[in-house]
Amino acid sequence: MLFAKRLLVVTALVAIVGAVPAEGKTLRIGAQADAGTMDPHAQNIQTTISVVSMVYDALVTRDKDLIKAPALATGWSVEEPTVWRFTLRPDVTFHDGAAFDAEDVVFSVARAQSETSQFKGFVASISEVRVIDPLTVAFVTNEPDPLLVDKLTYIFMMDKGWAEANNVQSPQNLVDEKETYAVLNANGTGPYRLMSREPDARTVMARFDGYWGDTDGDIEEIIFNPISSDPTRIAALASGELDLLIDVPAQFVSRLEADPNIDVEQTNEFRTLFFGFELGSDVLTYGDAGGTNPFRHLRVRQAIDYAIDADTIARTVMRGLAIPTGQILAPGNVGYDESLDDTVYDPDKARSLLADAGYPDGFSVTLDCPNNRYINDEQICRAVTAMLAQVGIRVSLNLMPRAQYFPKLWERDASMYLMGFNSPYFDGMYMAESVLMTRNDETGEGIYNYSLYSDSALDETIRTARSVTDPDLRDAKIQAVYRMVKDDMLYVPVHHQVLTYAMRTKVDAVVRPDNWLEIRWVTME
Amino acid sequence: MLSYIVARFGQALAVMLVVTLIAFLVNAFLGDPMVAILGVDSTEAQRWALRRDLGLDQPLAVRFVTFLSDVLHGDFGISYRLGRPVEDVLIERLPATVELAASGMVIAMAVGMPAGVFTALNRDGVASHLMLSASLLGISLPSFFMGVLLIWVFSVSLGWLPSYGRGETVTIGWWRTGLLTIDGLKALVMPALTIAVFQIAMIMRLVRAEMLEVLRSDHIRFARARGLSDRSVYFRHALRNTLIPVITVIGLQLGSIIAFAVITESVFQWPGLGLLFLQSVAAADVSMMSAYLILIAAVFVAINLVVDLLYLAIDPRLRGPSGRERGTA
Repeated sequence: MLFAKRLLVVTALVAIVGAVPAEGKTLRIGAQADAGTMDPHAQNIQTTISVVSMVYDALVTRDKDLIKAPALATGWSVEEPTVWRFTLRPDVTFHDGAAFDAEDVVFSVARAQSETSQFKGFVASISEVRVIDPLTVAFVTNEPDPLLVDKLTYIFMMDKGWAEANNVQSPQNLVDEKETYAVLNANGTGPYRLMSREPDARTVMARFDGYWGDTDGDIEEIIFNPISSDPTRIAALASGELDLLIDVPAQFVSRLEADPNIDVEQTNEFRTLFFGFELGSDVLTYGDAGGTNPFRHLRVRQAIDYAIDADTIARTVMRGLAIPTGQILAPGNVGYDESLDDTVYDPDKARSLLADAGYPDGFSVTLDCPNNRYINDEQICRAVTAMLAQVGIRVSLNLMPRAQYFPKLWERDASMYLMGFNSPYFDGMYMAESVLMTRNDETGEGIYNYSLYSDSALDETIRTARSVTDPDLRDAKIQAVYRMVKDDMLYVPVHHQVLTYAMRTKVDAVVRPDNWLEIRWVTME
Repeated sequence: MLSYIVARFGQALAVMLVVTLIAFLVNAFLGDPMVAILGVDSTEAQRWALRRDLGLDQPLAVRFVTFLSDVLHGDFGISYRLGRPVEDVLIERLPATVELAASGMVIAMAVGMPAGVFTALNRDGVASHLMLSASLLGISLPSFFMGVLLIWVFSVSLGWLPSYGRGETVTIGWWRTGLLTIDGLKALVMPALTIAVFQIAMIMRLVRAEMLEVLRSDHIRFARARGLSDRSVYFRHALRNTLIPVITVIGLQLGSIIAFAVITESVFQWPGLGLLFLQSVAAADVSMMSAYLILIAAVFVAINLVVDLLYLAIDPRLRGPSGRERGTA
């Protein structure tokens, strides 16, 4: 039975691949990793989101200035502080011909809220989606949620009938050990239809003639090719076998820039890298500071900030592809305050601050660091280990792959750690709630507060800021939060990463700071 | 003779049991599927519920028995990275690796065996010395470097061959082959060459050494004394006798190519088992990793078992008393 099914799938794939004529423009995209699944609610990973977004649409999208723009919803308004009304786009059809309507919205939001969805945090504030008429829905939230529309840019719409017919009413439950139809198949309203998918090899998509919207280019076919080896991926672009690379390792950037057939596009990513510390304990868990916890002293945290030479890390370790920063929130987010963004390297000051705090001879600590999560994470930690040794802090480095690193952070089992964070809604509130607030697993507050820091004044400032809807006031309130963080040096910031795309000169693609490849903006001569 | 066969099968079973235990330990300790399943966005309560659902809170011995019984039923679980049953994925990827390993070996034999004979017969020729030096280079060149070098010459500079993937494939039954299309064959050339380079050097040196050995032996001297032509002596009498150890080694090498094509497959994004393993390790896809370990161990154990049994067929001394009687008759 299983065998017969497999045979059918494979024969179907071959038939489809064989049937696609080689006319029209084909865009061949290369990336380090494949999309993990075609299920739109299963995996909150940027590569997966980018590929899925070629096939599925959300209610809301972003324009080139990253301002929220209509997609499957043509408009929205606040009726009461907790009730939003969305008008849906008429005459939209899914790839299989079914019409898109309010029932699909109700279904898709409920699906994104299910236990196996990795997007349930994005729709957690929604208590009900009410159908007013086939093209109008009302979203009811538990409390005022000024970011509701921002969050909905991630919630892709599925056809209720298709999902029910194929028994994929919720994202795959890996615990059941059952493969589900939506992993390899898709039916969205997006600009491209999924034609075939071979995980780790290639995913082929063809233009959907019935697409409701516009695309900047007239690309007929898209082939997404994961190529894990860096030199091969670069060579495939250089030889013209690929048209667009969405992740270029730093050491290849200058070579590609020298190639007249290739254009390199860069943008500053929203992700900020910073160091965090154990702040909830009186005694250092991993290290030796004479039975104390030096990180509880503001002056020790400031000393570490002065001791880290972020400019040198950006220049050498990152080969110039990083922007040193003085705060944990990246530019472009609501709540970003440029005046906080100063970085000073002063090892002498670091030494005197340590002495003032009562550690004239320094102390020793273990630094937990991932080696396959952020760009050059291992080398950054090695550099910082050497820099801290200069001021008397003896760091023993504990490197591990991300699959072991994150469970350790979840257990709050680290005395000093490297963390990278970006705000999915272009707004500083998400990080404030999930990283800065006191840990509360019931409400989801402080779920990434790996330091176990708790300050009621900071919590209160965040609480008052989060339901403010007036944009200017909101900006000011969130700025105040990050000023408190900087004054207390809760985290020591290092830099923002720089994203690099490379493409054949005939291709033009926009690099978004959240690393979401927007296929509708890609053009090809 | 029977006891020899029983002992060999017993050893094979014992090895498989130990490998299964190691695979289980990999599964239990090396990676945590929590990140893959829940994402980085999860609460303490969800993680506890998942641990209970997966049976991770059971004692280790109980978990091993469950694991063993699943494996014996051919159930390797689900890949956390791909969301698909492990055995389905393994079966899909197997043809790519087998075709790559086999074509690499065919190239290696086609080049290595004649070269070995040639260098044995012309021991002091300039060409022989050149070939031996070249083979030294082939043995020392890392396959990663070799692969990237080929890509830059044949894909980037000349534009003749594709730098990645398997090209167009055709499906026969469940076997997806790249051998029947021009595109697929072009895609095969560089990965197969990369695999072949090391094997060419090894086969050539092995054939040469065996040939030199055989040429010194008595039956060759007698053959010459009988006035047979050089051609007949070298190819009918000498080469044949060198083939037994050469074929044994090639058989064993084929197993290791299948197991260690990891680097070559990753350089060329060849969608076979090696690439699958590498990506599973990076994603801590533990169910896939342990299934791969068991599969590769099974390949090795099977090949070794066949070789042992072949020796039994070839070497009368292993056949016990009855065999010896026949041997002396």
